Amino acid sequence: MVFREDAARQVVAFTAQQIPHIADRRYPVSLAGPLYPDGIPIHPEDQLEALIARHGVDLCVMAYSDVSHDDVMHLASRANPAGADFTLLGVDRTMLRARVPVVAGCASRTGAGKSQTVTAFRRFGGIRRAPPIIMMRRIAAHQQLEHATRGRTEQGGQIIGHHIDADIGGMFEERGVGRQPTTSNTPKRAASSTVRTPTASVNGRSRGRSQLGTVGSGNHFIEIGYVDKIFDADVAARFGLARDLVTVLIHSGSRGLGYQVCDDYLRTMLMVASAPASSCPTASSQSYRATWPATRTCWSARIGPFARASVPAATAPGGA
Amino acid sequence: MSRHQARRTARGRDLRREMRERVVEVRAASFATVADEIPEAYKDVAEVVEVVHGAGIGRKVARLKPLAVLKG
Repeated sequence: MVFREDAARQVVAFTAQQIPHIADRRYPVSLAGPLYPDGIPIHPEDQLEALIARHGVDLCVMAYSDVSHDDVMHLASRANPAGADFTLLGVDRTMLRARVPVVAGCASRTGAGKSQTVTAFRRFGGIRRAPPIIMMRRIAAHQQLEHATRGRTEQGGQIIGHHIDADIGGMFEERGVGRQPTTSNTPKRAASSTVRTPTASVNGRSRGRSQLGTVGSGNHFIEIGYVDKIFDADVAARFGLARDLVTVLIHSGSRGLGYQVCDDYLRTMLMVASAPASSCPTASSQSYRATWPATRTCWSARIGPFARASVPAATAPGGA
Repeated sequence: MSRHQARRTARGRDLRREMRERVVEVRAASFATVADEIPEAYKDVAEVVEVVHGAGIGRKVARLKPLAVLKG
């Protein structure tokens, strides 16, 4: 998209690493454009230095998704000493202009639930004739959000903010998205539903009260045991584990708290999603904060071995 | 094996006696709960641990053996 119609530049090759089985094929003419009647060859990424040398490459452009900062800079440190510049493209030159309202599902982690949220939105939300959905992947989510926000104000589209990562949570607030209506056409109803300090939900509390101090049903249990064998002496010593030490192992569930948080806020989310414009990011930010007490619950459930009486191995059932 | 399957498999068996033969004494308010815990309901834990260890997901540090278990 950036170089396709740029006659001053010649794209000599792509390298492929992430998508299986595309190395050694060609980037098709239909995508490469009229300047490249034979398409553009795709080579395995490990030939990067060789390609730079062979073609006298001036510039390596990293078009990336789902790789870490480390991976990106490792590539830079291969391209630079081979002689080429190394650059990353920004959103302005790489995003297509939408002709229809855009629903963006942004999150910074794979597995955060973007697909599910957007699907739920699509199925139950305010848009009956489902518009095309652009899924924005985790890299540079903040830039993408900014772009999406701009798109919304210009075109009246909607944004669902479904964010799991702390950075993304902060980002919504930084930009004032959801805190205050950001467009003049925001209905009062949506605006008034935006402000409430969230913690664990009311249902979460009432559900948990009677269960305080219990371990949970189903496959949750408390097991009193003893250390029968040590495999890694160093680590075991750090854990305070020694042979024949009596241990208490607790497998506790969240006692329905996690489920309740999800359930409550999914409902809220679907409700606000049916109202036009900007309350979605706030609702999702509340949902995100509601997971904090749940996280604290997890931490408080983490206890180490606290019984330190040694028992003779012979008293253990079945011997040791 | 699911809980439901476990219960079906346990039907008609004297689980208390089976467990006693394995030197495990069972006390239960309701026997339905015990049926969840028939030996077949569990994978071989040693095998599971070997897989986790072998795949590098976790490392073996120590092996615990149970003395008593309180089931939720």
